[in-house]
Amino acid sequence: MTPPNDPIDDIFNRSVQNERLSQLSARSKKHRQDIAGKTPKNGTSTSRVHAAKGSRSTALGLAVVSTLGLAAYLHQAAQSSSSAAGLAPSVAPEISVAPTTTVPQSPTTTSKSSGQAPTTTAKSTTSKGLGDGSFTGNVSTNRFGPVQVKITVSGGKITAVDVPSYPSNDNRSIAINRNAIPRLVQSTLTAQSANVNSVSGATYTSTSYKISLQSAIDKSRAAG
Amino acid sequence: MPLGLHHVELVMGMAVSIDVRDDIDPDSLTRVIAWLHHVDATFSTYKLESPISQFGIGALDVGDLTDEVRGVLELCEIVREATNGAFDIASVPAPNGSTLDPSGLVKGWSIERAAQIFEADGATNFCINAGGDIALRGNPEPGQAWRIGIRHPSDPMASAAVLALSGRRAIATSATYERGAHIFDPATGEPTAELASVTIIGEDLTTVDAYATAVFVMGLPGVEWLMETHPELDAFVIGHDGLTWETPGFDALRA
Repeated sequence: MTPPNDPIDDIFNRSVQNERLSQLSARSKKHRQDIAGKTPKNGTSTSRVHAAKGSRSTALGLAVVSTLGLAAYLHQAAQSSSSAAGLAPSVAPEISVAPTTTVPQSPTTTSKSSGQAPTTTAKSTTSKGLGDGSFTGNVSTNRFGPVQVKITVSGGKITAVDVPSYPSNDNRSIAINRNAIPRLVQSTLTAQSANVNSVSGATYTSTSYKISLQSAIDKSRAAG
Repeated sequence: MPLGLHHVELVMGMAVSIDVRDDIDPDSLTRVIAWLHHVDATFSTYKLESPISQFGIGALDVGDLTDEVRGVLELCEIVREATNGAFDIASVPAPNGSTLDPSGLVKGWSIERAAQIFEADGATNFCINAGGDIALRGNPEPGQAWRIGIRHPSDPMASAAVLALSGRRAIATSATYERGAHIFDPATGEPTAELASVTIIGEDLTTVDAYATAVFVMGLPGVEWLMETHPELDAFVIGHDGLTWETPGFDALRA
């Protein structure tokens, strides 16, 4: 059995960039000074304005708009294409994943995002079918970078959704089959007390371990 | 009659639970334990004398570091770039007083390496759980999958989901319920609290552990980002409002 490539092995195979690590060290020092400049311990928030924090709400808002925009676009595409009957129920609701609307947002971004969808969807009442070819959407920038979506239409159906640029530094393109368009499945948290071998998510400190579920499992294992 | 061995090592400030179902040489376990303590001595941000602490506080220069430490730091930088800064070890306040804490990657990496030590020694069926982050191989019994619970955020004795995993699998969860707020958003320097927990499932614990942290920082949009950039990974996310979100492939992993 050959263990798959450990990413770190690849790193050792080329010269580690000392310059980059020096930059890392410098960035770290700068952050430390920034933190030292902030109000210490007592927990009251500082009067310092977080530029990044402000832009965060904006970015989340943009992400919502961008998601709903895509959903609306696909919805439109699905609605207006008579031959893509199966697409509407499977695509539109899944992409518009409600999730981001539950993220704490400023009232501005929420109203912005909820206002966006109907407007775009309303346009979709045009009865024109989808034209064949490739169509690239506008670049939408969210907090993690630019997102741009390209669809390929063949025979009036969306046959591929590509994301030529997405939040990452490299511009790799990933092709997503239309049956596997990214979507999140939402449900309600439930509690199970099933028998398990191990538990993920319990960052057990040495102390808490003694009373943890993991400890109970270990004991039952030892007795078994 | 059960074969194999079971051991719990308290190291790196947590409990590492090792469950090997093959009949292996006990020296293999000794090697794994020695490795974990080596990682602790080298990368602990609680130990002021560790190379990572010395580098973090500026007492060591880049040139003074071993290839191992430089390699891990380089890997952290690669993950930072891949996550557009959502995973950033230079923005994290560390216990040693510095702002350099690669613990979010070192844990997963060291356990993945521990798994490779067992594999090199011929083990094919085992499960290593390091404070809730898991690398597993094979099966617990022939024809059975490992049953892995994802902790319920408010009830430590319950699972929010139970998975049946076999083969080469890694699962990591980022949450704040056990250690308090300790995950910081590099963009704001403040603790993140948008989601109750983020669980990522893949093959390589180094990747999975780092991405669990990154997605936790990004919040829910991060899950969609992950689906686009890493379709090979699955995610299960729990919000503070009692809602959960999962990737389409997650359901097939359920027990």
